[in-house]
Amino acid sequence: MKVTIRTPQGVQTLTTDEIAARSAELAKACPSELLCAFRVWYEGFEGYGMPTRDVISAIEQGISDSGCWTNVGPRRFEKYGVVNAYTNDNYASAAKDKDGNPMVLHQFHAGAKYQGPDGKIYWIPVVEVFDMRCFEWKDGKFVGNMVEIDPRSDYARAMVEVK
Amino acid sequence: MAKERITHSVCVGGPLTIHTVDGVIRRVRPIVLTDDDAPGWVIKAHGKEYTPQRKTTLSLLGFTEKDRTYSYDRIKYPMIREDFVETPDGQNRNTENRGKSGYRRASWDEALGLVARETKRIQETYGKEAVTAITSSHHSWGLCGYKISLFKRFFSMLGYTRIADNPDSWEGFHWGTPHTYGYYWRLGGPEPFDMLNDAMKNTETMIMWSHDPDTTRGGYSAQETTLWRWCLKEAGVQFIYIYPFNNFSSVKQADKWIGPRMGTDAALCEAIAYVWITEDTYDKEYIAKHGHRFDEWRDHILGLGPDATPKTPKWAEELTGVKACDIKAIARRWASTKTMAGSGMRGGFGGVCRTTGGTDFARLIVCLLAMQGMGKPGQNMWTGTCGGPMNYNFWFGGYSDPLSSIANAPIADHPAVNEVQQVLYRTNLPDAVLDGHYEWLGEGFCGGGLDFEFTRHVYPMPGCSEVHMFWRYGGSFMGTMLDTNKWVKMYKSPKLEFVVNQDIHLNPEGRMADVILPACTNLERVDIGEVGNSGNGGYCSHSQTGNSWQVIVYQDKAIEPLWDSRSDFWIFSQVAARLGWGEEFTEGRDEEGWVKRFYQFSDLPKHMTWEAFKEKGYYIPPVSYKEENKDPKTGLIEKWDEYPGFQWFAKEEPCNTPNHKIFQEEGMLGTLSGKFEFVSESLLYWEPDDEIRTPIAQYKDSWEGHKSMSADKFPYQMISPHPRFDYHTHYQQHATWLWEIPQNRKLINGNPYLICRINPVTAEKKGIKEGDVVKLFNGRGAVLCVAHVTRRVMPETIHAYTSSGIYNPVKYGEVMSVDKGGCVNLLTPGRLMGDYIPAMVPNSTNIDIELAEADPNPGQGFEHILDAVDAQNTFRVTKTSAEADWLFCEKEAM
Repeated sequence: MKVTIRTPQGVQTLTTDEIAARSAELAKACPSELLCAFRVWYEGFEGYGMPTRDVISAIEQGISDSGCWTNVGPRRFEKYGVVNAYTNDNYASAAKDKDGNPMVLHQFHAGAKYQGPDGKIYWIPVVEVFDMRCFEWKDGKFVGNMVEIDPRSDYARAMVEVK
Repeated sequence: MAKERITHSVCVGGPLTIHTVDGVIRRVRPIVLTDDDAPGWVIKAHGKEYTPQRKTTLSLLGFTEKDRTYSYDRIKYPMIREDFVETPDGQNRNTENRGKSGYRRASWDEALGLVARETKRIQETYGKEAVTAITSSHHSWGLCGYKISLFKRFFSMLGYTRIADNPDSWEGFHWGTPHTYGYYWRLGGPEPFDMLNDAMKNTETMIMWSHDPDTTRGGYSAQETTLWRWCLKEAGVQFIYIYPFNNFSSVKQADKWIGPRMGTDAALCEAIAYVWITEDTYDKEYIAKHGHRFDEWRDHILGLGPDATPKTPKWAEELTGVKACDIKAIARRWASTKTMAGSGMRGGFGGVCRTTGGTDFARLIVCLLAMQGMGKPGQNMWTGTCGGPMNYNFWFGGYSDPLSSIANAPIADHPAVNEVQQVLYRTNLPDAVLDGHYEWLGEGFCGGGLDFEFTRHVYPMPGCSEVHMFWRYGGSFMGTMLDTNKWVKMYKSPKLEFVVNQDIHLNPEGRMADVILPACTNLERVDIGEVGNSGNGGYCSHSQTGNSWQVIVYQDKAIEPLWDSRSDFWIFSQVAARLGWGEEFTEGRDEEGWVKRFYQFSDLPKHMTWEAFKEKGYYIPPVSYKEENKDPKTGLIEKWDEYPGFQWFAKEEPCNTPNHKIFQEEGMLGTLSGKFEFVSESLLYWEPDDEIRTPIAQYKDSWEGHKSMSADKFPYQMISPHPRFDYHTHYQQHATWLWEIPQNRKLINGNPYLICRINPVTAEKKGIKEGDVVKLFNGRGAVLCVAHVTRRVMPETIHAYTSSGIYNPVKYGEVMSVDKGGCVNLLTPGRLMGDYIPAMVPNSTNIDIELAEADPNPGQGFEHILDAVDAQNTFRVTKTSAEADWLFCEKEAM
């Protein structure tokens, strides 16, 4: 099927297979944890205006074909609201900054609990490049004062999310 | 011998040192740093050095904290409306007399018992959602006692219909700029990080659009940044001020003042873009990399779009009243020098964004900044407030941080959760109550996502009751909301079966309540807080960078609560106890116990023991630096860890500034495309049919402006910017010496009339002279003011500050009565910006003006209610003028 799209390159007519193939490339290159067809359209294609249903279907086909994203159904994005979403199978290893280091915000989910190599469990409510502040969680409650952990430290990199 | 005690506190006017002698506060002053406090920093630029003085500053509002404490209008005792009848079904309670009736003194036991009984009755009768409550903005300071902390804990545990705040100070930016450059999590505001150093070293021009920084002070930064701007001036930076009122900052600092007709600023922006496009003086490389759909926008500017109208300076001259040559001059100056620009107190505020074209202007100024390479050294969105050096590695919560509320974990062991889903919207609360139905879009503060702007709400929610009890906490919306005669009407409605007002001072809304609960000031209780830190919870984070020093204060109790007032914590605890969940509410802690939790859950314990912190009263973290960057002679830090705002984007690098999002780490903005959107994809996605907030931001004639139908009848545009002598209805009413400032008010017959500013052309046409009493009026109300005739306002403009804490109608308690308190928000339109934009637009107000007579009486606003209590010899108020009320109060306190 042929569809017409509008991007910075102008008005183009492509087949849905071509859109899917391009989408698969874009999905492979995306370092984020969560993806949807709209994100590929706006950020990847730099598309103008709302994509048509056919374009969305082709993009979703491409994301699936990329081999590194798993469909998780409706999820909320801060930009698009609740839409059909995919999670990144290679998230932790995919996200690198310009120097090749893991991006801090990709390592931790703010508000989640993580276990350090010493077995301590921390709730991490604040995570920034500058500030990562935690509270130790023990026997179902917070204990002690606020704890600062350097998000780029070996300790932080060894922390694993726990439910 | 008198014993002097020194304590500290914080208010919106800055940090305080308080001197108390024999239990009476004698004076308040700024904090003077000691040798063991943090070393200062120094910026070296243009052969000059700038380092902050080793003391904090206070705004004039901060200096009135003592007066606020001993104010004539303190609520001294619990009071119950004298004709209130506690009927079992909530009917026949003489609600029509609210605002007229006097009060009788009650004991705490009687007042709290009544409040608890009514709360129970109403919730058992109608459901938990039948109770609603709302705070004022900033009537107190401190993480324990603040509105998102203590108030939230009580009402969340109770269960109530929350009233969503609207971003009343920066509407256009909040609802506009996220669709152009993202930053919805900063509520549309820019990144000011380390902009002071950048500007000192690199900037040549500052464009202060709709901005009076000496008056609005970056929000909570006292006069700190006044010194910064003088240093910028000394460094050779030229200042251009744009606003229809040549304001207090402009008159002393502007190299050029330009006064466009109110609400036409979007046209001015478009004409500047026209000059740049036609003269080829914008950063094409930057736009090619970072702009989205610029070509279409350029076509629109050049008249090649659907409207076929080139946005030439001549076109803009007709709309704005600014000469085309001036527009060209601004455009050329901006394009040829390194320029910082922005609007209002933190760059993304300002009166112009509270007009019907507020979102268009806000988005267009971002477009202009993008065209000149926003984020390159010296070129950014910044207006000389916030952006001072700060230690971003030191953590102490601000008032909106979820971690900094006693309603939430870990401060509380058991967080408070409101089980009621129904919400109301502040701007239209009276409509909802009176009509029994209201619908709107948006979450109020939409920091959680672009999608928050488009959520649909209906009141009452299906299956929910309307509200029947209103608990008002601090301040008066009569002076800050819209078409506020509606609030008077609402209070008289029998639908509101029970109204509680909990406040420090007898504000106008207090006089509409059935029960009044007297709270004490910050100076009469303990708390903890950082100066200017509004936190990360959906606010413009790191607002404390508006100060030269980062100051965390133990807000010690200077005196015991005066009269029968009590701390808000005590009041809520007592009601909670009467409702049967007092222990769960307090978790066994007193106020000091809660305050210590904030200390523990911050970085403070690494630097000071609890005892040392309490003893000294404050802690100042130094900026983050290496020892070799400290001058051994002066001890000043010459280089520190810097993260200049937005420069990461210009450099195409991952974001390195605090408070950012994952997609910023990936190098993108928070728009759908991740770039500057000259045609907004998010608006096309969410509301493509909105005719007010169009995908291309552009000037549109206002539905209430110089071309609207009402302009025939009401030909003047009233601008009511954020006030110089007030803060959201706080301070001015309580500190009577402020009334003696001629630029503020004029006392006639015992009433302090607000000064309004009119152009000599208007004055001559209307036969008005300097100092005359005048009536500002339109179909929504009338307000008596005193005229100040000045060329500092444009001829079609009338200036009168918003946020009057004084609402003093000639006929008290009557809807539509002429007001002589200066409550000009009575005149503002109740209509919101657009069907899809729930924003208030008080600066799109058409009015007329005429000569008037002063009312012969001082007014019931000052005497009537108090007299009713006075009759019982409980206390005396002998004067209503500015004369020495504080002396009277001080004697009584002694």
